[in-house]
Amino acid sequence: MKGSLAILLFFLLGCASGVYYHVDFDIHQLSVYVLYVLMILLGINLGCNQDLKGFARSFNLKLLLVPVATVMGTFLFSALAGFILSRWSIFDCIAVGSGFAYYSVSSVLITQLKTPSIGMQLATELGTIALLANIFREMVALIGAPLIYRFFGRLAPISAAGIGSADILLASISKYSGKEAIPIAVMHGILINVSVPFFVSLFCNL
Amino acid sequence: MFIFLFLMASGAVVGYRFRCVSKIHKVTSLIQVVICFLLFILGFSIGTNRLIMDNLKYFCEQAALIAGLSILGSSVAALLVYQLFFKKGGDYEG
Repeated sequence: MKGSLAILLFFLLGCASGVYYHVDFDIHQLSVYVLYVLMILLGINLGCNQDLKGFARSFNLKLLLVPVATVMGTFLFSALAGFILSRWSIFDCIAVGSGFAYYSVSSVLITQLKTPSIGMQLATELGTIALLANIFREMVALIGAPLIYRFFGRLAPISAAGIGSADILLASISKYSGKEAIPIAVMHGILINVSVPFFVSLFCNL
Repeated sequence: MFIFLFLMASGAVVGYRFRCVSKIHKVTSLIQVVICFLLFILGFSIGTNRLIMDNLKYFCEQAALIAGLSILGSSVAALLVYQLFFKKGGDYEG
């Protein structure tokens, strides 16, 4: 939670700075280079993850159904938003949904990847929506875990959490879905984490 | 798209190769710093954009709709998977 608040604080600080100050250099180009660095760091973090061995040992094909359910359910229902929000295409809405609560990476990726096709203005708007939507998802999954468990069963808090099932929401998942759910939640979080850049890039290019 | 995936895959190879080096695990803190910086830049570009700043409520409504539908969709799908494949055994091992 502390990390999320720090990220939110930096975002708000950036907004406030943008309102009062102007810079001469191309900030868009700068963010592309920083994003490249982030992608390399995320890869390194994934490669040196010690949990991967345990994950490989306890791997069971049936457990894959949980992240598959998360992905399919999110895509189908995000697509519905495309019918309601006339400003955005179905694929734009799925791209926002496919952040799976990974608001930092998904919002920046969407802004960068959509700029060539829809222009800087619309891409920044969609990036803003992605940031807000994925922050909302994490907040709702965190605060609403007992209700999600009550209405949708033991696996739903894991699916609703998206990438947060492996870290920030693990404690609440353990509380409501039981300790047996922890390996599924960690595996779910790792797989969804890896899939975010792929799915966001895919739907941004459709 | 492929540049991002290629960079991530290259990073994963490097991370796996040096997984025994203790310093490489500090990359998590570095990721947090880079993400904060990126979010600052995103916030900055939003702050300079009058159109977005004047319509923030409008964007919040759209974001809430997509977030709500995403959570509902994944929860319904998880319920289906639980009912169809996990409930019989009464545990997660099936």
